[in-house]
Amino acid sequence: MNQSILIAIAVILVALAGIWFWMYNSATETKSEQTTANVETENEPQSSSAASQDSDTASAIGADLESVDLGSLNEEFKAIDQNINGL
Amino acid sequence: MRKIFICSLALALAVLAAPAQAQNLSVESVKNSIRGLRDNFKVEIKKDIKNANETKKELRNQIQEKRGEFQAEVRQNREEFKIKLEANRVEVKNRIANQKEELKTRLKDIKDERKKTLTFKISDQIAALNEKMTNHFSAVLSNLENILERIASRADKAEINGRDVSSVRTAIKAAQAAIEDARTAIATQAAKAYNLVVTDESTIRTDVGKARQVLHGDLSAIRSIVQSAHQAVKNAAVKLAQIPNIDKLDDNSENN
Repeated sequence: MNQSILIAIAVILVALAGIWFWMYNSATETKSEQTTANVETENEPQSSSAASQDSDTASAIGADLESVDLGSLNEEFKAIDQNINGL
Repeated sequence: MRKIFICSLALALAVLAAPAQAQNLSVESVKNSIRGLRDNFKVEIKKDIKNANETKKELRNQIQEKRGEFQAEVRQNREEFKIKLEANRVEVKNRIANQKEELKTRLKDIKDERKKTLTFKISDQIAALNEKMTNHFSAVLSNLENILERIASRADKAEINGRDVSSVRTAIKAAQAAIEDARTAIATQAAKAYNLVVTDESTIRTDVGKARQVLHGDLSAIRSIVQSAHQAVKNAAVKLAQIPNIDKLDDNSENN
């Protein structure tokens, strides 16, 4: 009688340990998947923004050189010219 | 008789087998010598690869050292320019303050208050525009210098991979000189103060217009110098782009 109770307890314990192991594993997997996804989404905008400024490819350099703006002096003098005309 | 027959048969077989044995021996020796040659060849190839890798590593180190020197030079030039510009700004602010006092004295005789106010405003606008544009041109030069550093970095990678980058290096040096010339011009411009010499109410517009014209001329000249620096950096970029497969080469590339 005692022996069968002990066997039943042992079986229950093994079953509980199995359930706990399965739950722990699935939780760790979900966590690591979420972390990977976060890392991927965080890296995407960084790499795309860094691509034009830090990239030393000839095409990126050419594009940045084309976007250099020296400014328009005539535009900048407009406000002064208006005031001079008011004198 | 039977013994003699057996002996002669054995002798005949031995005579017949001798060339085959000799042939086997020579094939074996040829095989051995080929094996030896192959082993020697392997050792030689390994040595050559090792030497080539060492030479490449040495070249990479030399280039990285040069790149470090270049970056240090760029940083130093930028810092020196910043200090000079700041010193000139402080000095010019004091001069502008003095000129403002002089202008107040000159405008005492002007009766039209609106013209007086407008003249003061234009004086401030001229000083502010000079500061704004010298700041703007300084920022453009910093940007050009960053681009030039990237050109140098890409040229380094090309050189590590055995490409001839001498024309790019020459263009980079020319661009660096052009940037330095532009910086000197900007520092000089930042030290300028434009005095409004108003002599009479009737000529106030012409008098103020003269200062405006001088500022416009000065800033146009600075713009041209900065534009030359921009063109010099562009030339370096063009020379770089002329190297075949330039964008595919990197520090560790084996693509020779």
